[in-house]
Amino acid sequence: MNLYYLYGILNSQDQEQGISSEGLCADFDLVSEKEFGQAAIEKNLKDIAWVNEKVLQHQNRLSSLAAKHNVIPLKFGSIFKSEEAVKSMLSRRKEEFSLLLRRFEGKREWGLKLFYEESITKQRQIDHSSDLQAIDQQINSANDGSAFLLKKKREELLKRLVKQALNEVRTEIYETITSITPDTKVQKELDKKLTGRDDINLLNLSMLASSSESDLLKSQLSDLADSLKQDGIIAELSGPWPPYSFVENG
Amino acid sequence: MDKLKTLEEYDPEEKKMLLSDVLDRVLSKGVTITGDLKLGIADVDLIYCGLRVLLTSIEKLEEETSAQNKSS
Repeated sequence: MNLYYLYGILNSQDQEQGISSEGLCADFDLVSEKEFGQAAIEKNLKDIAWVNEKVLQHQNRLSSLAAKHNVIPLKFGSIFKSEEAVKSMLSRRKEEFSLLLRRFEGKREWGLKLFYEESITKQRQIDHSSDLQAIDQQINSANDGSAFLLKKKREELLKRLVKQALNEVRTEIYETITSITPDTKVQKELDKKLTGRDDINLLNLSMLASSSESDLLKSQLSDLADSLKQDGIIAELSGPWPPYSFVENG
Repeated sequence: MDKLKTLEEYDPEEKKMLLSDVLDRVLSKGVTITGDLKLGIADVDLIYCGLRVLLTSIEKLEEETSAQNKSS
């Protein structure tokens, strides 16, 4: 038996193949129960190579749809047993989907992530803070007992300065981005385990941008990335994405 | 950069970066639809958390393998 694996929802006038109801169309692939049935999928989800492959396939399909049409991206694993069940879902959620499609008209999603390396950020404070340098001088001429306390004080000050500097960058970039794309969402920073990087994710933004806003983002971010790099902060712009991040509570 | 490249077209560093972006979006964002399979939000969230751990183990394995290859 075949199952219906859904990728996204479009306006029916944009997509002819697919399951249509109430002016909406669900883009789907028929998948085999041997791979996507309840028992099979539970097993396959433990296989990281399988998950990676399917997740990329999901993204590629939505990406090519979004290049041409307005589309609501669905989360991985929306699977139905019959066309009827898909149709009834479409009519049940008709209003929500129509609202989202109107909101996404002519818009694409972009992602901006900032990363910092702790040692570089610390070193920059050490190089530039006169307060820290003053404590260092005191440590050099202090006896063991007071040097111990001074070192503790130095650690605390350094920690505070690093936190402050990072907060400033975060605020500044957030303000710059929202001045270009007011429809910006702050996302949870990505865990080191997921990024597989040594540096730390400082800020993770998703922006819903019109095509003129997209152009501005791209041009301004390349300048911004250069100036951040001097502070040891890496800025990465990704996209355009289907509007994954703007579907809930939207 | 109008169309995202497929994974094969990226070099390994880019691949890592792209994969985490894709996984983050496809597994943790997008409209949640409860279909006929009992693969609810909670399950996908669980996969997502599980993946983080898995990715780390694969990462370690790759590092160890490349370290072994270098030393041999």
